[in-house]
Amino acid sequence: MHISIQTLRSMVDLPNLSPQEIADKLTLGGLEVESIQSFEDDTILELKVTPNRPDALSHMGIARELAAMCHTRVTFLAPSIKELGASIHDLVQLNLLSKEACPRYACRVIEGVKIGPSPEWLSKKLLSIGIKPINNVVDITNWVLLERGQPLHAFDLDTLSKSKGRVAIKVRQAQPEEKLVTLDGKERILTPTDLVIADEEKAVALAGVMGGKNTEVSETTQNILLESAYFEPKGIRKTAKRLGLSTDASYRFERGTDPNGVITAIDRAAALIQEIAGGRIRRDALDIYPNPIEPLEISMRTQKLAQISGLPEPEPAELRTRFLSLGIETSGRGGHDAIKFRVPTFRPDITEEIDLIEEAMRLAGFDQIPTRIHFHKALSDKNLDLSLDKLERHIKTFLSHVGFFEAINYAFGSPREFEAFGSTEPLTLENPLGEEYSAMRQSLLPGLLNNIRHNLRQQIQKPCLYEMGVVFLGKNKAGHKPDMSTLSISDMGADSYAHEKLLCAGMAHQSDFFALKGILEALFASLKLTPEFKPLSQDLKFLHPGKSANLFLEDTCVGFLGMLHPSFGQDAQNCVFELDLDLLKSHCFKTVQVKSLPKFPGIQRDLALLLDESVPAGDILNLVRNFQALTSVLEDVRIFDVYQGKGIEPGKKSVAISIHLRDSEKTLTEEAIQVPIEVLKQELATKLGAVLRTN
Amino acid sequence: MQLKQLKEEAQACFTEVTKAEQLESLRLKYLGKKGQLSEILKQMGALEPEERKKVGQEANALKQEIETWIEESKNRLQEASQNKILKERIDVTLPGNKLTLGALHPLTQTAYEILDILGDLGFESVRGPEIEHDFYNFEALNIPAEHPAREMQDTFYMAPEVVLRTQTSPVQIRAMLALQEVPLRVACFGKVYRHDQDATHSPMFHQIEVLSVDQNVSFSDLKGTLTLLVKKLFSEKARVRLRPSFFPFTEPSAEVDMSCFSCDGAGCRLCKNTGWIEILGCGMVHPSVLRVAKIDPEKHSGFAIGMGVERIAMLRYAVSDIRLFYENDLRFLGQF
Repeated sequence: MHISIQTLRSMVDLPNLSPQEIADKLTLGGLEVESIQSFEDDTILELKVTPNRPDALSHMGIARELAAMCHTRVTFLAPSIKELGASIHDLVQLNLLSKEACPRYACRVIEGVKIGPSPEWLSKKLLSIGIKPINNVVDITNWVLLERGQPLHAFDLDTLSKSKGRVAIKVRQAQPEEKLVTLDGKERILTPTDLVIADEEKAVALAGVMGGKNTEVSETTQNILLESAYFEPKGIRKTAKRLGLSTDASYRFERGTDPNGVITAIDRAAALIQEIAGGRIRRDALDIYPNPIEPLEISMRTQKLAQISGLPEPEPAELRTRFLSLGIETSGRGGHDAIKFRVPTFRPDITEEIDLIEEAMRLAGFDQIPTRIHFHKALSDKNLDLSLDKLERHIKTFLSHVGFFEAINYAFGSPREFEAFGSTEPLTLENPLGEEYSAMRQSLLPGLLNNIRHNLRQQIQKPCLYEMGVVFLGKNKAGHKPDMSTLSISDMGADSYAHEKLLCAGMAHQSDFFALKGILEALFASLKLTPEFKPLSQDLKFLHPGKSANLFLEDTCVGFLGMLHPSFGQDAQNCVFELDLDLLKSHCFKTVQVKSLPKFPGIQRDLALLLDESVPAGDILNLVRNFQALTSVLEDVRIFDVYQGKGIEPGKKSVAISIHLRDSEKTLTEEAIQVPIEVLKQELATKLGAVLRTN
Repeated sequence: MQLKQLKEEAQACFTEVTKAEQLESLRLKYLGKKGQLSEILKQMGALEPEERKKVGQEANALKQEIETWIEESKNRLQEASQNKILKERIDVTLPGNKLTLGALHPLTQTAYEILDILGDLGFESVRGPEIEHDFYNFEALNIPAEHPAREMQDTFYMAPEVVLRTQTSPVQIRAMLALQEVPLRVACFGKVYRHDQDATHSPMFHQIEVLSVDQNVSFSDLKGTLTLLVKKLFSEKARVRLRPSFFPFTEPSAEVDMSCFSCDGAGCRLCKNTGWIEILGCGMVHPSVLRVAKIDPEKHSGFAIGMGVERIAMLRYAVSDIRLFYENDLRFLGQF
């Protein structure tokens, strides 16, 4: 909103303040000045007014605020008008059919006006704040709006239908499919939630939003019906939003105008019209206000003010004076330690004690409030599950240290791209930014694949990326009505609409399966875990069926690792992994129990085995690990060489393992293990068909 | 005769010696208990006294001579090895063996730093769902349907009453309801969504929500916490300014500016010549929000802070286009 400094100065005495100082006062008072610009000999402030302050959407409102910030007061004189001739009641009949949507409606009639361009002072005022002058009458209604925040509308009285010599104005809900061409020339199709002003025959204005073309003030207009009303904010908002039509009037009505400022505004406009466009103001105003809205009376405890603000308790007299500058009067004692205030109806934002406390703090200045800091000890007895955060940081740090970059992608994307990664019936947005952003992700891989492609286009070699984030796996059976009684901190979100799962996924371009497996093994080792990699058992069509594995911790599948399916073409060169952090979490961060250091020497036995190439190496290790006769002394068994090629017949492979044995009680002798090792060799032969190679 | 021969032989040996280990074995060979000189001395008993005295003197002289040779050889070898080391050179300016490093995303780094500062102040981390009910995202936060404040946040809808959360503030309600006891000090880092997209707005971005509820929590505590946070995050010299503002779920509400770190408040392009940079919003928890969360505003009060992680990261790292954060270009990510 634009504010003219000249106009402000005519309302409040600010001799010593420069435009910059005025802007600073307003900004620190909560009315943020976004820019200061010159317009001829005037200076114009551009303000960003928060939606709770409709009172500040006018020059008078800003003047009042500025006066309060400067410890002074403004008084606005009531406009004086000269009424002539017969009463408006003889000419206009008003029928308020929708008292809820329109608590107050008033009008005046001015006859014999001469429509023409506005005088220079008025045109300039409007131009300076970005409004195009139209004609004197319309300009006056616009100016009064900007001066006092009350939207007005002028009808050409002679275009309104008459019966028995009288105009019958109705304020009613629109009929279904009722049509109205608004001032901007567009035909609007209305619904019964819209409020209209109508004569006997037709709608003539979309109440609080825009007038009708059919009753527009034109060059030939002689007689005017001037409207000033208070419309209920919600209804106006609904209509304006539905029609995508925001006007200076609707902007103010939907934030809340002053129901008790209706008459002074119409009188001010009538007086200006008479002065500028001539004409006679008919006696009386029509004013229907069946249930007057009274100022609220609110008590404020100075002690509560002190507690909330951190300021010392103020002197009641000082507080009263400062509040008065905002138009908030004292109306008595509000009980022990409290003062009762009467809040003017132009401040709909003040409805309870805390709102008055805010006003007091604003007037004192936030910069006057002392600074205090408490260092609290952690609330460790609370059942806050922090292991997920710890795990998240651990994994991110680890992956970043081994060459992976963390990516962050949008959680929504193209359903088609998601499909390639097995996404079925993803949750979709009702109002997406576009089709390509319409589905909620069920996997982190589509985003990562896009990132890899992007980086390859930038000629980056072998990009490796990972992402940690939530995926959305369909609706929750639990339903989505919040049940506040059963919520606990450990399942914050258990009542949520969608099943949200925290995953970590990675993608490495031109990476070998075993390179990535090594990284994952190291990651798990850093978490003191040993996962088992088993051939892919999940139905994951985007993975190469023969070059993929599932990761198991005990019997829980916590993720997968593998090459992308050859059907991905070029992209099949990517090796990917995914881990479910919620599942992983329960296995992590168990405190290590130290084993005593070995006191006796151990024995290492290496065996080179020749077996069928189809036998998984893991089977050899499992067989050795589960071999009863050695379990008590088996320290470790590992594969140190796998060989195929020259010297090995086709279809076979040579696997070399080393077995580490140690007795914790005594020195292990060759004799003691000789028999068990022989039996082991036989088992390897019978169960896996492994022949011992003796070079 | 024997001595003379021994002397010649020994002299030749010591001249030829090239390694420190050889030197010790030569010493043992000639001067050791079972060495050749000892052998000769052992045989002296058979000689005439005259002769014995003479040979004894010669043997002693030889012993001294050998000791000198040992010393000289030692010095010579040391010098040689010193010279050899001095000639050994590697090009230390050649690169080390390549170890590939990745990095945490700059938004994560920023968020972790903030969470750590808050953690030191006793704020513990909580999470909440990203798909939220209208109730938690709006209603409970004092933003009823048809409230103009809804316009401040263009919302993505999943279903009529289900939204992608537009802010992390619903976690305030969840945390208060779930814990149902005070004091409560939590922080929530997470993704939020708004129907908006340009160089400074992303349809998805990150916020950190801070909530403190206790007896006698005041605006002073809010100011103190913010001041400390900003100083730790940006600079000790940073100053903080609070301006009254409006958020439906806090009262009073404030926008927080920090003194411009580029010009230190003098005015420059970064701060649009104001000397201040807007960084976050905050306020005292609105009594009706406390009531919804079953906390009695007569007994307890609280403050809440909401900050945009992108905004802070853009300021800290001088990033001018928010979209860089989601492009995941390694030339960008590699700088952090």
